[in-house]
Amino acid sequence: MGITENILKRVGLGVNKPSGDQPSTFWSRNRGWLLLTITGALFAAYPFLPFISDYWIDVAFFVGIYALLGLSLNIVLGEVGLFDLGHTAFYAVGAYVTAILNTTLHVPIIVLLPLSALIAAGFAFLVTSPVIHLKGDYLCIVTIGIGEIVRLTMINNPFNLTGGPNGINGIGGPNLFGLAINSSTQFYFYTWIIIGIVVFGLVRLQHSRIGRAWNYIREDETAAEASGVDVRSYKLLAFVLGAALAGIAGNIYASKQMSVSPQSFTFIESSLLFCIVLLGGLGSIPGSILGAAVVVVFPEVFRQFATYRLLFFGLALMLMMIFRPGGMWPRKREGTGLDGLGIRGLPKKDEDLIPLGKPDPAMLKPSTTAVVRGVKLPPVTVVMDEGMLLQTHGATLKFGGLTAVNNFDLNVRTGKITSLIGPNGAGKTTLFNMITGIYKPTSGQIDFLGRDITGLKPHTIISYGIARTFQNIRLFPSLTCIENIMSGPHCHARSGTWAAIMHTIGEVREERDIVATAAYRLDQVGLWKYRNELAKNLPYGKQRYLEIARALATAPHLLILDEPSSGLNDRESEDLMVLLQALVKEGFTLLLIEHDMQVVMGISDWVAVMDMGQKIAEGLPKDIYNNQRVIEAYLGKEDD
Amino acid sequence: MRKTVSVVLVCMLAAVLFLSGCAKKTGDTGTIQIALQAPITGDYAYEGQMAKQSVEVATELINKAGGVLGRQIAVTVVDDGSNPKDSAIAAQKAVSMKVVAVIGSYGSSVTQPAADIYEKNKMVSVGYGCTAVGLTMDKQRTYFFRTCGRDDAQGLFFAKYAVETMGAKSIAIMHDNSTFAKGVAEEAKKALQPYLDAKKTEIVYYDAITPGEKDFSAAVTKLRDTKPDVWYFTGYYPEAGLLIRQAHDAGLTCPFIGGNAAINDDFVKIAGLDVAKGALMTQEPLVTDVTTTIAGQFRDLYQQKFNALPSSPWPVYAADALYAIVGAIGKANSTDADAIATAMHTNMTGVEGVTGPTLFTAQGDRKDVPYKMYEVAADGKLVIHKP
Repeated sequence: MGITENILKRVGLGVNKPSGDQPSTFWSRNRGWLLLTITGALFAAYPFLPFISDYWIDVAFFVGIYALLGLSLNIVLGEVGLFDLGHTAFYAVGAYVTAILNTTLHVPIIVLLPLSALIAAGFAFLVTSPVIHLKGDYLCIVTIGIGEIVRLTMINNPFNLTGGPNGINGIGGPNLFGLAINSSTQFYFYTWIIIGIVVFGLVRLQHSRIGRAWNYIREDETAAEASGVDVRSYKLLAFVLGAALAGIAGNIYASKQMSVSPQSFTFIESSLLFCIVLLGGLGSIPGSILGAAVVVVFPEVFRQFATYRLLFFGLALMLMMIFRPGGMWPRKREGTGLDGLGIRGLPKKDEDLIPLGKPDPAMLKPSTTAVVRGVKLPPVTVVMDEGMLLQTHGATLKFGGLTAVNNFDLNVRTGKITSLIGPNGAGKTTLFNMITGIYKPTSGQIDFLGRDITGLKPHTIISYGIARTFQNIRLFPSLTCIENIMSGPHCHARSGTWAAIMHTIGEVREERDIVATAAYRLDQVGLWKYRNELAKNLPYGKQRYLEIARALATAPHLLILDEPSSGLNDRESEDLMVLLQALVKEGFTLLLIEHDMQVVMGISDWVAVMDMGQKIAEGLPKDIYNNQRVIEAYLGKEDD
Repeated sequence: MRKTVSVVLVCMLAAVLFLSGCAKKTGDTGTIQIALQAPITGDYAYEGQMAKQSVEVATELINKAGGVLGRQIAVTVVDDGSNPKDSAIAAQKAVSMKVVAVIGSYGSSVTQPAADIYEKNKMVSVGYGCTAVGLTMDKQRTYFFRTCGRDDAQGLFFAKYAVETMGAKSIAIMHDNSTFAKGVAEEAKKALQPYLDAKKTEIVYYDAITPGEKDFSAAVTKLRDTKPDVWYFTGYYPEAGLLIRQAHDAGLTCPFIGGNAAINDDFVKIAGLDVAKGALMTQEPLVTDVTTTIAGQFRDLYQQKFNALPSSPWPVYAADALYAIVGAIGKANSTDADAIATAMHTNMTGVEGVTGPTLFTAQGDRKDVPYKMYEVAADGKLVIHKP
């Protein structure tokens, strides 16, 4: 009953909305269409301008190739923040697949267009999946290696396929249902129409849970994983999609040049692509296109200065990076309002969103916020003690010779606040990290809701219903507050890449639910008015609340807070206590690490004390307060 | 932000207008417009610059002698930046300029896409430093020619010289995986096959080094242990200089034979004269060793204009290409591309370039490109090797 009502309400929202809000959305949409039409018209008119020769059409064609490559690298480098200095490898694979299959088996170029994309994507999957866990500069070096390996393989002419250093020539041109693409103008339109389609898809991806997940990873990988983003899969997806686009660029390049050779796929080419993305602005689609235009047109314009042109180019890049470090056309997030999220069918007034995200009281449990549907947990396999939500049995973690947590039994009672206290370095956070899946216990078992969750991945554990905050706040600094919180429902949503690009009904509804849940939680912690501010611009205390709201938005059964009151003043601490108690009333179970005894004694129902990785006491707060061993652990033993 | 973007766009537009204005000048001034596509920038800029100078000298000589069809000739340079992508753009630029014919380019994989574009636009192009066999053999082109020899010519020359003249029983071949070097190495290997079959010699080493590195001691040690009688390195001079130096230090004493990109003045500087002395090189003859009348005039004017002579043979082939084009225009009595191409294929008797007669096969390759074995003399200059 409750569920149907809920769904009906949601469907109803979709139906109601347009009639009430037509004026504003119509105008804003109209403006978008107008800009699009003008841009389109300019692109269409360009080859027919009187002073444009075939040479300049070809230059525009190559701008297109590099724009496509820039866009493809932008997914990996700009959206996810993975340093990929070997992106040319995928471009090369696309070009060579086209060249080989067209010259030997005479497969038509147009058939090879998707095929090159597929093979390049498959290749990317194969070569990046073993190394995808590498961070920053390490990944960078590996990708350089991939780029060089591909180039050298092509030079070495394996199985007489690649034509060695001279490459392959005699590649045909694309034939679109009887229309042969041959002249410069035809190639220009062919390429830019493909780019148009690609941009359409990328913009939609950017404004979906996929695009946001990529950005979460870029901003803070650990926080992303802890918020329920399957970091590994999303990184792979970025590489695979990026490689597919590069493969398309390779196909077009090969058919236009009619020949391919390893000399087109050098390391310099990869760094040029890197330049394009940085120049345009990380994660910016128009930026990547503009970057490509600069990188291709600038050297052409200044070609008459021969060698000096590269000097100018270098100088321009340096000035650029000094005066516009974010790139020429960075993606704007601040001040775009909720419209900037690109989610369709939002209420006219932002405030109307908040009540939509309120968890359905008919469902009673806290985990049933609007967006949770169809998350199937495995069947119950473990018998837990009566009334317990989480239990660790002999949880142990050793780092080499050091035992950080030793044989720890923690019991967290459903619907209560349990505190874990202990001196600095006792191993409290380590235990939290084991529960949330960041560390795998050396031995012992962790049971939650009747399931053994020992050694599961953080993003899986969070979908079971354990959310956490970090001791040193980990937000997604360059995203807005609402975007930060929208990471919470991510792990319960199901829409994939195609759904995001096609805007399926399910996807649109899911997106609206995600933003509504986020709005509700943001309002709950009193940060609604900061919804469109970047997280990094919030004061410290508010950042804590934002982090708590993000954890709440994952609709957890258990909320684990690591020193929530640290860095807060007395008044803020009191406010926090009020909020925590309200959360318990709402039905959440809380587990805290806390140093502020006032907070601990004030709100805890149960306290466990840890010292040197071991449990030394547990009990009601007032008992702990007077426990001799606890006092010794904190203050040291008195000399007798 | 919007402002910056629009400023950038306006600047681009202005530049476009400006340059397309420049390009329009080609017309009815009476001069015959020819383009030189060369690597003015990029990895092989030194070759491109010398090609430009050579063509300038040749243009002046031709114009002094009255030009062709009673008209003067003028050469415009388009830069292909030593890479295939820029080459395609450069070629399109030359096509847009509506020149009569094109000289170019240097480097086979760079010439490949350009040759396709010229072919498509029915414009005669004459390569001067592109030696890959496939360029003319993989595909029949009507409008493409080259004044330089093919890789197999050099490889064949090396094989014959090493085995028959030098009597080498064991041969080492080393390249650097670059387009050109690997091509020559492969052709040399192929040309050695009959000698291998006849058990006259053997290949004891065939491997590549990585260009750009500074320490080749591992490769050199491996090479030394195979005890070759001659050592053929087909790569470029920066590595060649280091290699011969390090091989000397490692105690390798067999004769070093460089391919035609391995030895120039910089090679001698890098290796040091004591080590470089005696190094051999398979090469198209340098302009200093050419005895034709035109070569004499060319040398004099080049020396006078630039106070030096081209330090590699390739730029001279660019001059040859210009002579061939002009000669063909004269023979065809027309600037029509088809007439020029036909003349170049069939009617070039008597047309001479700097290095001698410029006759072409049906594929567009030059007939009878001379090769020589050069030696670095005690003063660091290249002289013809006397075995």
